[in-house]
Amino acid sequence: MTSLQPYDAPLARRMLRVAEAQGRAGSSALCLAVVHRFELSSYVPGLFELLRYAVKANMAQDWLANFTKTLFLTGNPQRTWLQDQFHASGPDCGWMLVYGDRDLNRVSAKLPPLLLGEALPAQDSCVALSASSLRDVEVLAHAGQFSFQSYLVAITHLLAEAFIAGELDGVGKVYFRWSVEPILIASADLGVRIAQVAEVGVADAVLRYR
Amino acid sequence: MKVLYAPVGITPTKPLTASHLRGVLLVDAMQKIRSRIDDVTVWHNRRPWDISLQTTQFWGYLDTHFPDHDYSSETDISLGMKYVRANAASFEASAEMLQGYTSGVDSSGYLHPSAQRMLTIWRDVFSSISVDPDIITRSDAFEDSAENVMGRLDKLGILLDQRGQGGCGYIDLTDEGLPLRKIVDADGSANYIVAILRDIWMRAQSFDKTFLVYDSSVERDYILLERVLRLTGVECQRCPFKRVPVNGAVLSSREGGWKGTTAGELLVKLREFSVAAISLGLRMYFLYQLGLRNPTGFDAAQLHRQVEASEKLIGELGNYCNVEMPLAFWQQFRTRSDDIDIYRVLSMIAGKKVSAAEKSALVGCLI
Repeated sequence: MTSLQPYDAPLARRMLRVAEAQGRAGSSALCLAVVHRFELSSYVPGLFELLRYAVKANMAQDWLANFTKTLFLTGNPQRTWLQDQFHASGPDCGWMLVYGDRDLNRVSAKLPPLLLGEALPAQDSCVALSASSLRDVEVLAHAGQFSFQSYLVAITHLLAEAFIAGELDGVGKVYFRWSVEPILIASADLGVRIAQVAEVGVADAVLRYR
Repeated sequence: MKVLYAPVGITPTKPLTASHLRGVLLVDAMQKIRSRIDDVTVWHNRRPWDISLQTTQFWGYLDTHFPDHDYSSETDISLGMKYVRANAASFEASAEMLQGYTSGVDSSGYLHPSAQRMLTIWRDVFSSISVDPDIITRSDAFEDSAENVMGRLDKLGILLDQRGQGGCGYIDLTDEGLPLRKIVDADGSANYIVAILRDIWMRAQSFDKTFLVYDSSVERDYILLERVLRLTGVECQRCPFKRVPVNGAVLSSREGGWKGTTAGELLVKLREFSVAAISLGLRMYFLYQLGLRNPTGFDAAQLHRQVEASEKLIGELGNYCNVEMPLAFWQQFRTRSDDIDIYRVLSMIAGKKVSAAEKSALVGCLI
């Protein structure tokens, strides 16, 4: 006999939002990230939570086409009016999919675009995803090529694409590293994820297995 | 009851326009009527407005384009036209230049020579219309530092601070339906909301009630200020007023369009009348005839007729200065929302069935 669980209103609302997102697959959606503090350690798990629960396989093409055009807003995801709207959230960053201008305006009318300085995350940051690690990956970015804003877009794109393609299954840790030199794409790197190809054979950011 | 009126300021960059006159006269009337009922303080400190970017950018423009200029012979119109040109040119002073002005204003009440000249002209205008010049021209040190204000906002849980990451500082009252409001820029410069809070937040604690008087173009910011003050127990009420359309449009002073209707020019056109008639006529025109809620457009001929009628009324009333009325008389002007109904005050002065004693008391109080 199954025991009844206490009613969890936030969870129920979140499940409803996820169901809505799935039901509206194929329609034009936009991803909003509401950022209070940018910490890779909470940003990356939040992104993966969104992808795992709100973006199903049949939405993958939508994600690649539209959702990666993520809109970054300044805000505190802990605020009451926001909490129920997120598909994934942590103390520093919340994620949601919105459909149409009305949904978008409800949030963006109150929250301005994210405007952080040019200070990029520290070198060799590491985000642990799973204790039982089969392998680790690294995101390598050419330091001279990025502002904070474009870095955010690049890593969101790289990680989301790899996640949807199943390339992060079983991954234990994601390392974030900076390269002071342009990143040459060697033949050994075939299969890596690349963001922002600078020129033939050179990339601004890559994701690859360590 | 101890009451504080904290009116919005005017940056010393332009001549007083019809809208400025209306705002100044409204505060003046509120204070004078309320003083008959309560212990009233009008706190107007120039410093939040002198330190504002609008002012310091203009000073930067002047010092860049007119170095070592003698401002003593400038008129409010000529300075105002420079202000219009500065805005049309989208001039931006360097960060160092702005920092120099703001630290000077903050620490010692520095005033650029152009602003000193403008304030001298304003004082002359106020003296001609029975308004205490101190209501708009005094400059006092801030009660509090910007960091203390930020600290208090943080304690209240309404500060969203991204300065540590190279971002800005915001007041976050989004749970109450207000948009996130930036108050400190990425370069560390605080805006006028912080300056107002530095100026009145602590001061307001010692009053039973604080009235925020402002023009409705900054309504959102004053709703925010009211909420912040209330969170620390300050009994607070907003008193918005609307700007006066001139030639069918409500323009910002920086866009120009005020020539012919500045306070100085209006006073020249009314010089045939006594100071008392001008003082009363301006109040009757700007606060009564134009309507308080949605003022109709400015009309110089109507103003002239109103001052003319005021001159006649003052002649009929004779010695209006020495008429005293009981407290109950003044209390009738207190509204249910605890405001002062200035429109009612002025409608009694214009009314036909009001006694000469009552009219005299009201006129004597206002001018």
